[in-house]
Amino acid sequence: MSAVSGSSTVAADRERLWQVLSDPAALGATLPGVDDVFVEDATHFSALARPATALGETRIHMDFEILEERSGEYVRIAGSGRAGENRVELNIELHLADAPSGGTAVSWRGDLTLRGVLNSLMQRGASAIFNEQVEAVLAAGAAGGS
Amino acid sequence: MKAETTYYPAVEQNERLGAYSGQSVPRVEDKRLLKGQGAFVDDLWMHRQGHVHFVRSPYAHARIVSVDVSRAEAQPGVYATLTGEEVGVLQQPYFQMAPEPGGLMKDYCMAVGKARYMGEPVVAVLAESAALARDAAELIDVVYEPLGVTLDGVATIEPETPVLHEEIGSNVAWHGVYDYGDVDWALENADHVVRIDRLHFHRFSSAPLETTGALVNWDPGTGEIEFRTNNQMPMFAAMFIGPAIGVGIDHMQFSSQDIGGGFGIKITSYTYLTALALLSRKAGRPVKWSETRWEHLAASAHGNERTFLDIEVPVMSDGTILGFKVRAFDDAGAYLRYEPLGAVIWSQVVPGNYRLKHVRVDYTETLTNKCPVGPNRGYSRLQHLWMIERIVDIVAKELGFDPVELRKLNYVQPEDYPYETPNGCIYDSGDYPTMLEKALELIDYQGARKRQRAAAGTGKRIGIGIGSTLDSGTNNFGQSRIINSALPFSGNGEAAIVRLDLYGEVTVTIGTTPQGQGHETTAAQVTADILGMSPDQVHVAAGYNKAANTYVGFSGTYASQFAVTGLGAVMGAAEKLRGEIIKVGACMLGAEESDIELADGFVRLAANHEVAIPFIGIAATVFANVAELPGELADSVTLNCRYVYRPPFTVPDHETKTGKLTLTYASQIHAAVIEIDEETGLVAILDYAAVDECGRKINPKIVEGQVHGATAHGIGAALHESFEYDSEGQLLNATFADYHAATALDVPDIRYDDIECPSPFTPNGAKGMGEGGGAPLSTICSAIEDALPEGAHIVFDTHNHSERVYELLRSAAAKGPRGVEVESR
Repeated sequence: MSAVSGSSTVAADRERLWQVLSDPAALGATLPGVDDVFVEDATHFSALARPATALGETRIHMDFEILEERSGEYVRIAGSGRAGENRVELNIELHLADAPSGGTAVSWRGDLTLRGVLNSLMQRGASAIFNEQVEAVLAAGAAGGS
Repeated sequence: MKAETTYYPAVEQNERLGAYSGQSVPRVEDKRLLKGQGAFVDDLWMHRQGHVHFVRSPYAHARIVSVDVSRAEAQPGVYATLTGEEVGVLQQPYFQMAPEPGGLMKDYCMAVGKARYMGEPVVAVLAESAALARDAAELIDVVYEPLGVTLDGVATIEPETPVLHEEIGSNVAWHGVYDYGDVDWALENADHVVRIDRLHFHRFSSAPLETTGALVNWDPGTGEIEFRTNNQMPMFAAMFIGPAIGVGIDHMQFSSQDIGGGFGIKITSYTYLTALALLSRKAGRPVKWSETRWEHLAASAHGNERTFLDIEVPVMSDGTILGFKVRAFDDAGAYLRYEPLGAVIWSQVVPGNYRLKHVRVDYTETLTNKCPVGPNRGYSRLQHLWMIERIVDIVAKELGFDPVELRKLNYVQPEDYPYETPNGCIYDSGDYPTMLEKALELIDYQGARKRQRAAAGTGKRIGIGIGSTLDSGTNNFGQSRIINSALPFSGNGEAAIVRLDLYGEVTVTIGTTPQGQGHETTAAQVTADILGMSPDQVHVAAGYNKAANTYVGFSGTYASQFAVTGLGAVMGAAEKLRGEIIKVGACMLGAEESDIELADGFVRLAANHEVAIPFIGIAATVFANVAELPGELADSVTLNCRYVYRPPFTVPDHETKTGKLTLTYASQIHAAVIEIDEETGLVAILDYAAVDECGRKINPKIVEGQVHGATAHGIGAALHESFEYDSEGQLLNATFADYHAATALDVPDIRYDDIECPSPFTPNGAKGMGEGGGAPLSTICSAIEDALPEGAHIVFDTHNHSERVYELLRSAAAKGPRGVEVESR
């Protein structure tokens, strides 16, 4: 299991960013390398992502659930999925606050568990890739969710 | 001199060896191998073949709730799948060598019901290409229910630990006590008792250039199964596969040509061969599988991990070490596969290189959620030998003895041979004190000590280490009865055929499975000597072929024995052929057999070389002009001579755990100078020497090459190679990105020397070699120990990465427990 954490200041107001983070369809669309997003209901969605890993482009089928949210300030998401015979699990929570100099301060922390050879291959790179994904979501959110 | 000993029947040394045997004849195999013309498993092809991908468990321990292969099977180009559920029906559990409780284990070729280690095969997919099989595998839905894991080879015996095999009831597969001499008396009467808390031999493997693979065809018409595989002990594999899938040995054909390294790891690939056979039968077509590197590292076989606890060593005031007492826990991983043979094989070298008389080893074979173990270069003996070398160095340091002198005092001495160990094994020959002197000379021992003193205060610490090891070769399979008296195995053997063909060609076939050891070259050398011709004129069939070559039950290449069993068989067959050639030649020349000699490919009169017949004349007469010969003679020669070499073993005693377990004892003594960076703990090897003794060398250059290989392997294990699992049983380093196999950049120039102490027990004076006894593991640990500051913790692990060495360096200042205590009387 890898602990993941990070923080960033996004040049967008909290409300606009929150709209993206709390909307499964918008959130899925912001994930880099995501081919397909299926929204089941307001708190459940699934996605097929193809992030670059040590195996090359790895197809990962993920099911997500928004476990908890406080509008505009906090969201906790759990995901589980598989990449071939490998298994992927993640739990992440994001905190949003107004940045002193404008925009939104976002911090996140969570854990990412890989099982199978992907774990061996990605043990050092998983956190970095995960953080890149989060940064990309936030950037897309700042740009209006596209 | 020691009194005459009759441990084995006298063996007549073959006096004809000499013209070519003993010479560094260039390897025949290299011509094709260096030109990329070798034939390995992945080079093979069969009409209509499909490619296999194994879906493997991502969990170290999980119940398999369901498997859905429908989406994969619906893909165009997918021929078939094979699930664990099907395997549970199609296969009987493998025969187990262990008695109860381990013998109750139900082991299959793939996970049936639950997976017990990460990487265990769960489903096999067969498709028209490897890529398609891999893609289809992603469409297979396997639902797992994760279970708790057990990963520590000692703690796994605790009652609350998750049990891998419910039918066994615990994670203890085998337990036995080996008790030789009187260790209680020794501990009571010794001047000092040195107590060592814990030593740990880590888990590593081999990294053969060629991973495991096979091309398998279950012929639906004949019912015969053809295995083209790099398994290195095919008849052993057949013994497991046959009963498991209900096929006779006569319906199984094994073959290989070139094998890109084995080191023992390829012995236990029989599980994969079984799965491939079942898949081939189901699909009605040949199936091919080549293991990826990560599959090899995660799920092929690992070397045995062993923990030694509560070691007690009685020592006299003059430095004489009387023996030791220890509890050993051998972690077999998830299945027994080749185990618990390791629970007895270590006892081939009970006292190591020393005259230790009183030994008690309480041995437990345990199961954990890790990759199953298998033989790995120096199998089971190197763990034990390493422990003994640790004992010697720790005793020297704690009691203030010079480690060189302590070794010389306690070594088996040249005049002691043949030397009988406390458990009845016979060391055939050797001279360890001379080897040690040579090794120390090669590293300039006195100069190194000066450098060590001069380095004080520079931030670098110099250490000098010694590793004394044995390479016991030619197993008596009767030792298996020590772990299970019901096993029907004993002795050993190898078979060869040497024949003279119609146009005078000499061809040799053997039952061995060479993996780079140069069998074609050395077999040609001994044959040439016996038949009086050049090795260039001898054709040795490459590789293993059950249908075309001869074989016996223990055929294969493993356990350091080719020079004895393989060449013993070749020599015996060549001698038979020589006898027939002389008989025919004498008849054709009208001479007595005693007047005949063989030279330069001719049969000739010893007294007049002009009166001669070339071998082609002998062969042509026997095969095509036989009416020229007297009927009695024609009936008695075939020019196709088979011989089975059989070492003179008897059955060991199950009750006392004693007997002659191995025929020969080669040895290697290494010495090294290392430098440790105090700030980082990084170890650099400044100088390294290896001195080898393996009896009479058939091809010295090949021997030297194997010493280099074994040294590199050991250095890699000592400093770089270790399988690391996380707390959930996930292997963290299953690729070469993280599992750093030693390369030329990691191995220093090796100063090599040798001595020859011919074995009196083998027909060519040779001893098996090549495994090396893990000498670098002992040597590097010894050197690190030597470099540590006063008061530091003992070196307790075979694997010493820089972080561990850093901690050892810092332990001196911490003044905590050092892992060792001394009681002096």
